[in-house]
Amino acid sequence: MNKPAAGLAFCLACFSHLSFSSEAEIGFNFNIEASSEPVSIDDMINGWGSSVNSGEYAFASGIASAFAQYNNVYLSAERRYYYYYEFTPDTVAWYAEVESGLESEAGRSIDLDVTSFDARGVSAGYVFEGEADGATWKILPTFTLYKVGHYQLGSLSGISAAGEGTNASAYLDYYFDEDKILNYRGEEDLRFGYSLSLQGQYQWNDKWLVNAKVSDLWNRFEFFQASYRQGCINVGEVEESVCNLGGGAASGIDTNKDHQINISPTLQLSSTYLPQNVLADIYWHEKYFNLTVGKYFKIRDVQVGALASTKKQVGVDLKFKGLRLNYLVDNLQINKVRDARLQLSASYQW
Amino acid sequence: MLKIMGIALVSGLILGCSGNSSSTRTVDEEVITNLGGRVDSSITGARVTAVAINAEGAPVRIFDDAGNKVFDGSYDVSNDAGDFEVILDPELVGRSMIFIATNDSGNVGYRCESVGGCSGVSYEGYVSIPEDLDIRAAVGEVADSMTVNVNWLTDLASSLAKTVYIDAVQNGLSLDDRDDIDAAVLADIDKAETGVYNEYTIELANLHISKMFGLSDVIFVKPIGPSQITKDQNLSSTQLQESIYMGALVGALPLIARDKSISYTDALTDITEVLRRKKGQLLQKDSDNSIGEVTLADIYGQAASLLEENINYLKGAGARLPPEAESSLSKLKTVLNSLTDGEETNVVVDVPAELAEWATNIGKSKEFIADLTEAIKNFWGEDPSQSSFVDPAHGRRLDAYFAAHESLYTDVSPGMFAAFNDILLAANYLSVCKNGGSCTPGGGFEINESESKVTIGGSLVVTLTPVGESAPYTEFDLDISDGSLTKTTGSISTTYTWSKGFISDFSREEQPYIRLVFEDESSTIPDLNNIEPTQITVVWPSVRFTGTLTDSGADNGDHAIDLLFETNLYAVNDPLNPSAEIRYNPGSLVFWVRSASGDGSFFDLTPETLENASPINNTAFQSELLTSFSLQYYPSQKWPTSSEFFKSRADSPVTIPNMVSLYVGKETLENGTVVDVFDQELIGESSLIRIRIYPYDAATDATSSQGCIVDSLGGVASQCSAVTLLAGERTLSSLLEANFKEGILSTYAVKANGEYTIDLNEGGGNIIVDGEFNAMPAGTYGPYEGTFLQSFQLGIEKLYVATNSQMVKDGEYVPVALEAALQRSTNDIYSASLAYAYASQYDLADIEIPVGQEAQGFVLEYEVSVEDSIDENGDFITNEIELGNVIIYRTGVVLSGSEETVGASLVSRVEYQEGDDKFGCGVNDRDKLSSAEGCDAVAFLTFRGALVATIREERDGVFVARFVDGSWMVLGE
Repeated sequence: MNKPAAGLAFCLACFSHLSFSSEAEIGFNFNIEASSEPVSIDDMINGWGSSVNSGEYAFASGIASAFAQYNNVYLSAERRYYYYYEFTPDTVAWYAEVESGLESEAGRSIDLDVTSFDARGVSAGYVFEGEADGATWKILPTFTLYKVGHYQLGSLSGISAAGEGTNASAYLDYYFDEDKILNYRGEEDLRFGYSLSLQGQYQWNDKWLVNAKVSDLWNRFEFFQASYRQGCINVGEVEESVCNLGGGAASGIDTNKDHQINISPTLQLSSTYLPQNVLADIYWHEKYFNLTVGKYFKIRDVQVGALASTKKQVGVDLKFKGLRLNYLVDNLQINKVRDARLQLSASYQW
Repeated sequence: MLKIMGIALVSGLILGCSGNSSSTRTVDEEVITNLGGRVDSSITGARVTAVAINAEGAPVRIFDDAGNKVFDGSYDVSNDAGDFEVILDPELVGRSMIFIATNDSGNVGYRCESVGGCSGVSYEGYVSIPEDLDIRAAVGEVADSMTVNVNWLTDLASSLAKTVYIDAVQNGLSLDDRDDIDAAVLADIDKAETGVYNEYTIELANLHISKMFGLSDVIFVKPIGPSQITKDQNLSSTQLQESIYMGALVGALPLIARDKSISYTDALTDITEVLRRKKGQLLQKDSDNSIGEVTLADIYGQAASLLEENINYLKGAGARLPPEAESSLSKLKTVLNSLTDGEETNVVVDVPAELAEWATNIGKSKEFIADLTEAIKNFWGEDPSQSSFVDPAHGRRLDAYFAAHESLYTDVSPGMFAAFNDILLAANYLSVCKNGGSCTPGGGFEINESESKVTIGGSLVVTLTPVGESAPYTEFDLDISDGSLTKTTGSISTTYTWSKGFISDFSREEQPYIRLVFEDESSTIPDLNNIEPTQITVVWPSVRFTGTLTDSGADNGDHAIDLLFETNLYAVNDPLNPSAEIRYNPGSLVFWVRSASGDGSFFDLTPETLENASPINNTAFQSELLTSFSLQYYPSQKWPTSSEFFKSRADSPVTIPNMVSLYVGKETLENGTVVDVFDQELIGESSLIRIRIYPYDAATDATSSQGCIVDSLGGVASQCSAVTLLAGERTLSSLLEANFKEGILSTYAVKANGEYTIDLNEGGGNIIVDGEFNAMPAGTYGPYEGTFLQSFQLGIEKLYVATNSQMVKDGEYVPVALEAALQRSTNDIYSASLAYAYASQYDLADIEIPVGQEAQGFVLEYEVSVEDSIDENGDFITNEIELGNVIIYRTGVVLSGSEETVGASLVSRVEYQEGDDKFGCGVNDRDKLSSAEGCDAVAFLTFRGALVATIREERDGVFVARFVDGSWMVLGE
């Protein structure tokens, strides 16, 4: 039975810190997972250009964390950025028309949901482990307490009509700490989040290694006295307005209101066939689903993996002792990338 | 999103007595409105200013002589009892006002109510309040003889009255993403908001605080300090009890401050901050002080113990106490015992019915804004289905009517200018003839030399008349007789008739004439081909002709046109270049055009006969212009054109050698008085200027000065002005030093070229040492070389344009009037106004707000001004302030389903400090404005007289109106 090389025992999908052979470990992780269906990530940030596909979501998650594990006790601190935009293909088409100034040929329905925030968190967990029938398993539940920084939570729903110029009627529901639309400055109160995550690792026969992590299995984010806007936009001519909050092209009410959300869990699952050094992993959050397969080679002391994914990405995974770099993109030109994964980590075990 | 800022506005509603008048000023002998009250229960020496709230929802401030911003209003200083009395302008009755007690004299104190003394001050002595005192009482509607007390409880109400929603925006700054903003400015954001008051919030806040402290009316109840309860107060029992009760509460603040080891004002700030944070509530009690805030229990506790110790002390001293003292104490204790630990108060004010009407006002004002936006976009009614400021049918009729006039003008203008030119030619030929040249020019011009006349076309006579009693003369008139000239353009033949008529100020009737003014005297008019006049005045009260309007439907037909033309043209030569062409600038210009259907007999109607005459279509257009710097600016062309305004001459020399010489000396007058003199000889000026400074006259404590013309530096003076008195003792040296500081001594205006500076130390010399004026002893100085500083520009001092159209519809006039005025002293500092009225039923000669069943109208005023002040560091700062005001009157507006007549006003205020950044602020100079201190630009909308919203540009080009209830609306589209 081949004992897997120490380096390989290190989680290949690099989301789990569980390892067999260490009593203690400290380390640092930096992960970014981003995917944008309609336009490139760069366009999503800076304004849409010409290349627009249909799509239903744009997602980005960035986490920088430092962790320590000793005697099965796990502690970490992290800085987290979360963006999830969900919309309909109709909304994409409408927005593309507005950005490019083209005349709309048909009426469309507008549906956009935005959840984005950044937060600092501290986590605590405990590693449970055991053996059974030649297999070893570990489970690490962690509980994280977040202090939320900036946030933008909102939804826009309505309809647009065909014709020259912008013709739309839509209702806006928007919670924020910084007004990105107008310039309202209310006085918000505190905001916190709580999240429970679960990671596990299962290895048997020295052939198969499975890692799973469900982040935010249970979570709740609370925003006290969040600045809250209800707005109604009626521009141009539409058959029937969806709302009316006081007339004019746009009108509404701004107040402060308590609010809470929870985000969907994220599943990361990987399985590795050790004898052949091949791996398959899944990243799944809401509408974002990505399956990656890879094959690893050893060159000198460095493990080099060649990866490909269902999001038409290719990439590379490099591991050397406690260091790791994983880079996966669907386009070599940075400003055209639609799907990207970047992971950097370093750890030390003893 | 469309800018609504066709609405550029003026300010104007600066109410209240201007200039910090003392209350002893009598405004009007018959009607005196006085208000009185008490500051705290005893604050003495405080200055209480009664400040009106302007339409912007803020207390009015002005700059005083020292350049500090102070509240504008009548004031008084509180006496030992803390009482004050303020006399108000009667116009202010019924308005919202704030009474502000401040510590201007530095000598303000409160009476020590503690029997044991207050930090070294004995009982009933005065403890000084050294810090910046600012406590207020806000009143929603001021009435004559009202009692308004100012204390920290009313101050709490006043702070609460500031509308949180509206002024939540602070200068458009977002803390995290503005690296370019000075840290000091960012720190400022956390200070208390400037606040917007309105009648609604003031009344609500006063009610709220009254309820919180169990008072009938926090403004009206006059607090009696615990140490004064034995004194006769002349109050009813209920009033006395309430006053004692309140006096104890008011006296609690210094004790709370002492316990926390903070100042009086800091303690008040703390409580205010808690109150605002908790949106009008306080913590009832916090027995273990775990929260650390001032609670109601703290206040009541201190109040009760203060009152109790006074009661015990006074009893012990054998004084007779009113029973109300004990009942007040018992009321305080009852409240104290009822408070619950850890719980907040729950004061809720039932909005009285009349205040609830505000909600309707807000809703209606939103509909009004939407309608107004539509009407502005569709001003002339091109889209008949949308709101407009002119009835669509009438708008189209006016369009056609004016188009027909334009077409007529195009047809006749060549002939018209040819006729004008004939008159100028006549003058020229006559001048040639009078100087020995040909007297038979031909071409329709016949000269009668002996009578100095030219007859043009056999019908119009121009007569030369020198001005003055006898030769030699410098002015010559060319009088134009009543007569006409006929010109043909194509197939159209038009006759232009000059006639006598009233001049533009209607002071007298004049025959049309042209006056030429020359520099040198002569016995007859100089040859115009050789010598040009220094000034040309044209006065043509009436030049009339008729034409036929076509393409304007029912309004077609014969029309008479009557022109009035007056102008003063000034010649400017370049003293540095004597051979350069002499060019002319307009000093003033008046141009009127009137058009009436028919043969022109309409123009001959007097105001009396006009009333009874049957209406016919008539239109008038008037324009009047007064320019500035018309004697200094050297234009780029000989004759005036509109492109010469606000233009700098490009080719002024960078330096002018031998530009100016100065002389300091003495002159002995005929009566033996010896005066100090300062002479100036400047290139391009025909005369040398002298300033005389007489010896100081102790009897009048004044120094006399005089300006004269001299023939040479240090020479003989002639033609002196009247004597001017300067206050105090002034010497020539002190005057020169003052002039140097202002820049006058070293800057000179050279005609046609610009302003030049000199170096007073040029050629060695120490008039200036280390940048300061040293001395200028007797002697001749210069000639100095001048260095270019800035150029002259032909400016508009005043511009007035008005059009008035009266079209007949169903036998009645439908008047449409538009009037615009601009007063602009420099490119950046100006005030402008625009008034428009449609179908008003009042005489439009003086456009105020038009009223009437079908009337529509507005008045727009905008003013840009500059105020200099001194900041905390003693540096000079320049604030530019733009104030705008528009008053709108519209009938037929559909609000909540029914047609209504609405009056609304918008007042805007933009204030910024000139600096070095590039940040557009306000309307004026948006592209290059510099504001290092952030931009404060806001407009306030009042609807039916009540403030309902503020308007700010929250994103580039996006103007948002935020209403008192938290709702908002984007203006335009």
